[in-house]
Amino acid sequence: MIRICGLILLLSASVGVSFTLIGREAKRIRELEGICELIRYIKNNIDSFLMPLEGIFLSFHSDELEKCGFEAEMKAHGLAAAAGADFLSVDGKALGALSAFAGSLGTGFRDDEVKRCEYYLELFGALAVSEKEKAARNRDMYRYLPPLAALSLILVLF
Amino acid sequence: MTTEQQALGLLQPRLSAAVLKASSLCGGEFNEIRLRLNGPLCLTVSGKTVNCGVICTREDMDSVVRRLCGNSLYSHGDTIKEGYIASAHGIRAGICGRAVTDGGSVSAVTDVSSLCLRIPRRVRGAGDEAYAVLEKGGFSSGLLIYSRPGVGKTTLLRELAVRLAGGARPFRVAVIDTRCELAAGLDGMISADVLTGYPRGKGIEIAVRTLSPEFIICDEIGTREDAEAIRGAAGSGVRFVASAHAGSSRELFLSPIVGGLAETGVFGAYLGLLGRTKNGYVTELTFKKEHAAAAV
Repeated sequence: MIRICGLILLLSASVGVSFTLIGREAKRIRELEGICELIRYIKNNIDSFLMPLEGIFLSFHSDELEKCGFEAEMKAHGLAAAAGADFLSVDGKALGALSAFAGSLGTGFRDDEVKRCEYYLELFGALAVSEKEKAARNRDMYRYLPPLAALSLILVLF
Repeated sequence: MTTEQQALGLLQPRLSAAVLKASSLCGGEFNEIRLRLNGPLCLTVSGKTVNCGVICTREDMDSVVRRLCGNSLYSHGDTIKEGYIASAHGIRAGICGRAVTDGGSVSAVTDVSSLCLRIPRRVRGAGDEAYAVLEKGGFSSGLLIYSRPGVGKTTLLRELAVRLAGGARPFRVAVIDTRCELAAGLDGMISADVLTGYPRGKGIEIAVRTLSPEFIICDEIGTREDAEAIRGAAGSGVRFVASAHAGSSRELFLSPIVGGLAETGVFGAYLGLLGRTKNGYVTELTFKKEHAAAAV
C-alpha cells in the first residue's frame, strides 16, 4: 500500500515539475510580449498625442502584466519603480533593459522618445523571439525528462 | 496645497529649506524663485533680489525641469522652444539654456542654465482701480495696462477677470491664457471662458466666433499678429482688456504696435503701473493718445 502511494507521489511530482517548467517559460514569454505591448502603447501615445507619462501608464492595460502585479505598481509609482521591483519572471538581461528604458523615458523631445521606444521595442521583440526558440527546444525535455526520471527511480527502488 | 507649497515641492529638499529660511528672514512673500547653474539660488521679494545662500547644481536644475514637466519633457516641447514651461499648478517657469536651431528657429533647448519660477498669487482688490476706470466709461471701451516687467500686470488682469465675470454686473468674459498663468489658481473661482495655451491671435479668433464674449482679456500683446487679431475682433463690438510692456506712456505710444492700436480707438484708457506699494499700485491714467501726445 505504502509502495503504491509512493509510486503515485513520485509520478505526480514528476508531472508537476514538467508542467511547472513549461509554464514558467510560457509566463516569461507572455511577460516579454506584455512589455512589448507597453512600449508600443507608450510610443504611439507620445507620437500621436504627446500624452504625459502618468496618463499613458494609467490608461494602459495588459492581462499578463496585471496578473503579476507589475501594472498596478507602474500605475501607482511609475515604470522605474515597477521595473526595479520583483514582479516579473524575465531574466536579468531583460530586467536591466527595462530599467534602462524606464530611467531614460521622458527626458527628451518627441522624436527622441519615439526613437528610444523603437529601439527598446526591437530589443524586447528579439528577446521574446529568443525565449520562444529556447522554449521550443526545451519543451520535449521538460515534458519527458521528469516523468522518465521518476520512472527510473521507481524501477530502482521497487 | 498653495501655489507656494507647490513651487517648493519642485525643488530639491535643501533648496526648498533655503527658500523657506530666506523668505522668513526677509519677512515677505516671494514672487519668483530663480535658479542659475553653479550660481546662487535667489528669491524676488517686493521687487528686490534676495540670495538664499545655496548654489544650484546641474542635478538641481535637471530635477526641477523634470518635476515641472511631470517627467514628460516631450509634452512641453512647444513651450520650451518659446522659453517657458507652464506647469499644471499654474507656475510658469522661464527657461534658458543652449538652443538647438533648425533653419533659424529654435527646435530644442538643452543644458538648462537658468530657471525663473513665477509664483502666481491672488491679490484681492488689485483690479479695483482698473474696474473703476471701465465703469466710468460705461464698460463701452477697452483698457490697456502697461508697466515694465515684474510690477504686477498679470496679477491685476487676473483679479479684473474675476471681477468682470463674477461681479455685481457679470459680463461674458473670455480669457486668452497663452502662457497658462493668467487664470492660474482660479479653478472654480472664475465664471469666464478660459482658452489655455492658445496662441493669442487664434484664441481671440475662436473666442469671437464661438463664445460671444463682451470682454476679452489677454496678456503681453506685442506683435503685429496680436494687433491684427485685436483690431479684427474689436470691429465685432468686443471690448479688450490687455497688457503690454512699457515703462511710461511715452514709451507705450512710441511702440508701433500699441501706437497703431491707439489710432483705431480699441482702448479707451491706458493704465500705467509705475510701481507697487503695500497698499496697491502707483498708477498713471491716460485716456486717449492725444493726451499722451500732449504730455510728450
